[in-house]
Amino acid sequence: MRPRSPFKITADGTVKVTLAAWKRQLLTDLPQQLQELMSSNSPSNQRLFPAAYVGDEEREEEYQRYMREELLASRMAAATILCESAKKTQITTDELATWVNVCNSIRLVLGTQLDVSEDDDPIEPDDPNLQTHQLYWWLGFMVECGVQTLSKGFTT
Amino acid sequence: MPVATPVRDSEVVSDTSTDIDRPWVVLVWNDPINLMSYVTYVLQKVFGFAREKAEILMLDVHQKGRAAVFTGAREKAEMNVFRLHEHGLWATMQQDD
Repeated sequence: MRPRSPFKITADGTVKVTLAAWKRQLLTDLPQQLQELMSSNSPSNQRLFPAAYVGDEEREEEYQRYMREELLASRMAAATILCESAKKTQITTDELATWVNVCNSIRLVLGTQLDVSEDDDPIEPDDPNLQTHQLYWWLGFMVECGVQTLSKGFTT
Repeated sequence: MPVATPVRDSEVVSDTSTDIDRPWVVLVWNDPINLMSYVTYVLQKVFGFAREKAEILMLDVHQKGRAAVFTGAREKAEMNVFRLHEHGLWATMQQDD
């Protein structure tokens, strides 16, 4: 059975967040680590800045020249929003959308580092990357819960 | 002031016509990291698709490896690719064959 969702829509349309203090601390620290990583040339960044044009070097170069900075600025700003709202017990749905966005970005980095695939075997307790796998799983849970809460706002 | 007469340049004309005649397609590719529910959510959010349509496209991505989510002008395709990248989806664009 999955643990209960930390997010609950309230009558006034905001989102009540129920999370242990140490998890809120993670949501404060991880975005800052993400920002540091994005400022570097780490290969773990590759999924955060994908190519738009495949097999067309000229257009790709032009696209990256204009858009990479903008994408970086957007990711940096999103990480700051999560970092600064991680300790709040009541957030807006816009803030929740940013939480989901940044948790997913961190998952992309961890998933790249762990080299996950769709049919990975279950993780053994003595796996040297056990903690990273647990963090990756928890961020997936946060994304899933956030998406469920936000999807209630879409007209179907 | 004399008005310049437009000069027909065959090379430019043929170049432009290729660009205009063939629309750009935005593709979303399968990846082992993004959750299926998240991909559906992003397609709903970015394109305003109904849940059912977003789910069909997500399943195409998951099962066939990719799905075309937008067809149109190059500038709009670039904007959509950017928004998909912003949400962590693996998107590319190419000209329709």
